[in-house]
Amino acid sequence: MIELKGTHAATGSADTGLTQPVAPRVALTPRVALLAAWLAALAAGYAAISRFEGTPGAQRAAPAIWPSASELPRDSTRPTLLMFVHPRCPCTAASLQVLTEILNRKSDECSALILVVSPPGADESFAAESLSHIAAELPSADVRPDADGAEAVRFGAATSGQSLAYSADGRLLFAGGITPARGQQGESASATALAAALLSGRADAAGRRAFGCPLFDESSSCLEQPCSRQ
Amino acid sequence: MLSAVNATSATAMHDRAEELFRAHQRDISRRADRLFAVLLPLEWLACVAAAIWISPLTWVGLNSQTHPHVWTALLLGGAIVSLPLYMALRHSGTALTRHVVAVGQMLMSGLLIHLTGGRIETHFHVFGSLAFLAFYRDWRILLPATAVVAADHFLRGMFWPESVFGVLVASPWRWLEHAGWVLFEDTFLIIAIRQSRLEMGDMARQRAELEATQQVIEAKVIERTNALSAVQLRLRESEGRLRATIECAGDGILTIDGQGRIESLNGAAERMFGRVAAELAGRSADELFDESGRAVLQAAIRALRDAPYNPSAAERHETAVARSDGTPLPVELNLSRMTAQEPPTFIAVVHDISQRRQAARQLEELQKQHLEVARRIGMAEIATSVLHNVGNVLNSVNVAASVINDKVRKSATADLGRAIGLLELHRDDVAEYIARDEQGKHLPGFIVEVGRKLAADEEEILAEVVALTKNIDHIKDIVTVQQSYVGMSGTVEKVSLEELIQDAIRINSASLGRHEVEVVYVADELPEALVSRQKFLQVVVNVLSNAKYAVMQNGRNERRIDIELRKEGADRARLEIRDNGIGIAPENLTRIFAHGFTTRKEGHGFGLHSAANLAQEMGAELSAHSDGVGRGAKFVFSFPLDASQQPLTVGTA
Repeated sequence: MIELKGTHAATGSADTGLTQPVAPRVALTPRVALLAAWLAALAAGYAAISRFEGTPGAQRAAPAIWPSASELPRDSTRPTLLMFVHPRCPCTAASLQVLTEILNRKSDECSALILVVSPPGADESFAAESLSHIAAELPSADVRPDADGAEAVRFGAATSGQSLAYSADGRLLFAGGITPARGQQGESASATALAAALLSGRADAAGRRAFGCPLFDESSSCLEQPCSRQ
Repeated sequence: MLSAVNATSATAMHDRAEELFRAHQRDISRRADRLFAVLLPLEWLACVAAAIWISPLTWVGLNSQTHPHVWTALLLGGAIVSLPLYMALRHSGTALTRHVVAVGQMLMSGLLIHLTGGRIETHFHVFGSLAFLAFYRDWRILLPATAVVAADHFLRGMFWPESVFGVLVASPWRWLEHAGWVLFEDTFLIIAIRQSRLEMGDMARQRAELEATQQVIEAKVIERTNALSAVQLRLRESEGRLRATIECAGDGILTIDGQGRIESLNGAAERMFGRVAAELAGRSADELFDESGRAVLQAAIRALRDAPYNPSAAERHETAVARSDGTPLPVELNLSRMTAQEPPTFIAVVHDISQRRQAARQLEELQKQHLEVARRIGMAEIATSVLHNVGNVLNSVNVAASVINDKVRKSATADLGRAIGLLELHRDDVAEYIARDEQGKHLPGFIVEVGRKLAADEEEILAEVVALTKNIDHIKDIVTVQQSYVGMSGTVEKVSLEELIQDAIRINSASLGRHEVEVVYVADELPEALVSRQKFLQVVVNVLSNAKYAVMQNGRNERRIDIELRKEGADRARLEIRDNGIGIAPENLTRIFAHGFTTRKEGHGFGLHSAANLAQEMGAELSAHSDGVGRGAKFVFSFPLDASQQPLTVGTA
């Protein structure tokens, strides 16, 4: 908000000899300064939260062919959709919500597997609650624990919400997150791409990023190959 | 002129309506500010609670830490709330505050949507917030609010990595749809706000009209109140004066109710009755009067109570009240009804007439004395006339006596004596002496001559003696007439008016005759009248005497008095005494009968005054008339033929 404070101090004009007013000066009032500071603080806050929500998780390459070492059942009649989630990450809820939307529309076109990843070192109770909760939320999906994240490692999943789609013959159709940002529900390009891949059977060429909690510590040795539960 | 005044009034009312509208708007804004001053912190707390509930921790494998959403709720939420809260508390009611609150509220909606992960249900907060913002009844703040919602959605779509923004799929412009719904709500809110503001405007106008009416009424009330105060002040002053008048009044004043009980009385009444007001208040007024007075009072109260109210009606009676020591006090009671209201109230004015009665008695006594004096004066006037006339006769007597004396002194008796002496001397020779002596020869003739002279003197003296005798008889007559009235009382008796008038003329006859005054008397034939002989004569003698003096001074040879007695109506007679004397000046006509008034040097002013008094006593009228100085005068004495029927009147002319 700008307040105009005009002054009419006389300045003589040699040409006309008339007294002309001085142009008004713009003065910032404390209220305007306060308002500006407020907006600046809000901008900074939004920038910070946007940065957090917009920063993708660790990204690893998914196998182009269904890994033979995987113990997960692959549907040979239709595409198989995999989603790896951290059992306690709040962002999981958003991913599951988007997945639910997809499954509600494409339930007959794929079989869904949701793997609740227990990081290495976690006991069974770490994911127990989440397992039962997700199973209850998504009865059409096959919800399974992924102890020590073994399957996650096999499928290159490092971030909660990482979703993969394989065709009936085991080809990779889609890899990436399906939320528009971290922990945010709603329409997203990746979810749209997943739905299209499931429908068409053609692989999504774009590199899709997942937004969520890291499934493993950065220092975990299990990232390279599956760790075996002691 | 009137239209100009109306226009000014309408402008003032419009300005006042504008002022009231702005004040109302300001009040509404302040109320809404207070609402948001509570709501925004609550929303902030709700955001923090939601963040802690939904995403308390963020995980990396097995490791966790506080979720950034918690910090976001705490810090960003606090930042969002801070300025609106400050403005609402410190600058409540301003447009800037409203706009900042609107922006802050919608940012809180956006934050909550963020914290709930974009749950569609959380979007309802946007619509709720807009509805809350409508409490300001300022549609303009919906613009920044809507802009914030749109911007939030737009920016989210634009900057989120996997946003659908710009992707031509089923719902790429979802943010626009959301904004459209917001605009949809805005439309209804704006309509509602506009309608509400119209109603506020109507209310402001009605209130301005009401205030204007109230001001007019208040001005009227103040004006009337001032007038009433002035009237009350005057009334109090008047009441004070009236009270002082009543208290200072010499008469006793009491107010009495319809049952005859005393309500109040003034100081004079207290003194009159010898009792104080506190003792008498509420007691029967009968106690104040004696036996006859009570009856009078009760009758008066009944008369006034039973008759239709008449403010000038009053009962006046002379009666007596009883003093505290039991002695009666003669009073005049004047009772009247105060108002037409029921039950009636009476006001009694009690006037002490003891002094008046005493004065009346003294006056009556004085009147008697006065009448006696007047009678004596009248008699004195008659006596004066008598003496005057007697004096006139005595003059004739003196003349006769002088003539006789002169005749006697100048009689021939001495000559006769000398002749007798010669005869004595010549006793012895009388014959010789007469025959031879020269002297003796003349003696017989001388004696004859003396004899003749003596005879003549005797005749003259005898004539004078006759005249003298006649004059003495005249005096005797005058005195006899006068004596006939002296000592007479004023008793009415049957008299002959003509005789009385003749007597009056007779009393003055000597003087009238001496001054050659012609008296002409004419009269109707009248029966004998019942009058006071003494009073009637005194009146006529005095008036006649007055006429005589008047004609004596007229400076003419003709001196005339006309006396005319005529019947006047059935029972009265009229005596006119007219003269051609010096007349009466107009200014003297009114005081001619006054005591002591006279125009003569030797007069004393009693005669006509006495005559007028006597006339009044007789029930007669005596009046004087004159056309002015030198033009004579007329005195008219109109009297009743039967004075016994006349009431006694007392007074002076």
